[in-house]
Amino acid sequence: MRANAVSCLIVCFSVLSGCGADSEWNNQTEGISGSLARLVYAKNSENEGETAGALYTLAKGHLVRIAVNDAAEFEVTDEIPINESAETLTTDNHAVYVGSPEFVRSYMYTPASGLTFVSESPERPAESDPVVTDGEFAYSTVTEFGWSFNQQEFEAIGGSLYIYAIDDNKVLTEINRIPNIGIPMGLALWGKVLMTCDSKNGLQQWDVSDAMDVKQLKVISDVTCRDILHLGDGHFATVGEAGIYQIKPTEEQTFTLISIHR
Amino acid sequence: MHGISRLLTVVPIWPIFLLPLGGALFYLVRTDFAWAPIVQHSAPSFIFALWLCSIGLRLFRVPRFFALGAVAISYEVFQLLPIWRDSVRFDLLDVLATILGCFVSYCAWKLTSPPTRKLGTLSNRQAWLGIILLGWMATIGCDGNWSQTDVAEPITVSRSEFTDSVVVGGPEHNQSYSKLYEKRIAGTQYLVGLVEGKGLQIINNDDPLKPENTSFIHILGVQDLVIIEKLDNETKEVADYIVVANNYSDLVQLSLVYQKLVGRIENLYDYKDYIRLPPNTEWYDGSAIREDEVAVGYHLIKTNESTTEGEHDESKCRFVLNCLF
Repeated sequence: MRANAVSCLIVCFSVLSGCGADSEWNNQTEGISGSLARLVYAKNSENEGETAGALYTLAKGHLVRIAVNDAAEFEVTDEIPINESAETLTTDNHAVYVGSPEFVRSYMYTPASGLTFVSESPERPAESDPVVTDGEFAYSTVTEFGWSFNQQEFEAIGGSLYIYAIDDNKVLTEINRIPNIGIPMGLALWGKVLMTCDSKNGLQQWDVSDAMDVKQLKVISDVTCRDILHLGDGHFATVGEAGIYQIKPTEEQTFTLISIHR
Repeated sequence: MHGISRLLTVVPIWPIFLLPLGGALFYLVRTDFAWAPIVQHSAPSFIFALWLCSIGLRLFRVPRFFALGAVAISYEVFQLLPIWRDSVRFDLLDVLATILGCFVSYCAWKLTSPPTRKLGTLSNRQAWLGIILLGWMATIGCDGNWSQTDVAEPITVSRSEFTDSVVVGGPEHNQSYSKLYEKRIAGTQYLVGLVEGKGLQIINNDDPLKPENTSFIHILGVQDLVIIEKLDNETKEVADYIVVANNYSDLVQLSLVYQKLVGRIENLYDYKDYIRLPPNTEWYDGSAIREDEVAVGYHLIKTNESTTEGEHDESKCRFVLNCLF
């Protein structure tokens, strides 16, 4: 059940608008990144030289579609009522996936029928599911949040790493799960090196050569972060309380901190 | 069986009073574990229901089963009354506790010797203590709080004051970022760091060894953004990037190259979309934002009618009470 629910979210990996770099998931050398998103953009076409598309956002208890023409003209075209607990969005071409602590719903847009409800998966255990994929496998960090009376705000209290296999029809099956890995947030992939941000314990480096046997290689405790970007050739930039950290590979599976910036 | 019946009659009542206190202490020291919401609401409530049943077991000896039922039902009725806090709510765990308590009491009634006191006899200290404690919990909260939940009202500013707040200024150092984006403008790599609630730091990252803050785009209330490519009409190459972000209730569009506001959709969001309240806090029903106003925060209205602007924290005393239930 859970695999079905999360697969709805993950199938839409081609455009993860909340991630830092525009996610080119099918190009491993570029690397990919994922983080929580509440405002997403989907192009109408992936053709070169076209930028027209649509923004999707959650507003006033509705899923709202805003048509964007040449990044200049914005027009609200569709609104569809949705549960107020909805809080995350991802898109895959004309499909929009809405996540909440209780469900993942999918919607489809066509010019003829507008925005329409497609399906709902009832089970979803966490509030944020950043996802990255190399086309063969998808990796998702699931963070659990709780109210902190000391801090008087919602804060992350734990999380796990989920690994899914993707078949030819883009159906995902959960094949591995690594629980209690701290407080994972954003994540990024470079080849078979997976980086997961942790705001308390530090940046975690994983070897995902074997999806069934994902190994944690290192915890870079100096680099605490919430989000991570792959800038190319193993060059990662992270953000967190302490600012922006940039790391680069010096040799296989070893990274060096090259700068800290606030 | 006789041994069990003897045990039920000789077991001291006083440790039962420690149960809710223990639950509260447990929750006080462990606020950061995954089951906290359940423990906060249902589990202490469950313990409390059982605890009350236990009072009945010991307090009203004749007949225990009916006495216990009366206490448990009274408790559930109290829970349904609006004077109790929202966290003191009727749920399945309470029903389970009541059924369990009734069962234990029924067994005790069947197994023990004939009753010696009449129903409702409040002749010992335990009886008075139980009743006083129940009354105190039912009616007294800290600061005379009788409300179910806290109530919040939006803090507003005028729209004209608000729309002028999106400005591009010099770099602001030492920021804490929640998201990072990367774009290339005229061959130079830029990082865009999202500072939640405040705006965007633009960072020249051409030299990753020495990144440089170049400017800060102030977008009050910003929580999320996307960056869209804008193509040149003739060359069809990227000529600009449009940052689309929420500015409290509005959706604004800014040119990253020219660093200026290029569009705004007003009142796209409701204030409930972007202001998150603490648990056990609800928006005041009558809260309404005028067309020429924008909500930027909230007042927490104390239930003794005093209103405290920006008050986010609850008093320790009320927190402990919350834990009890």
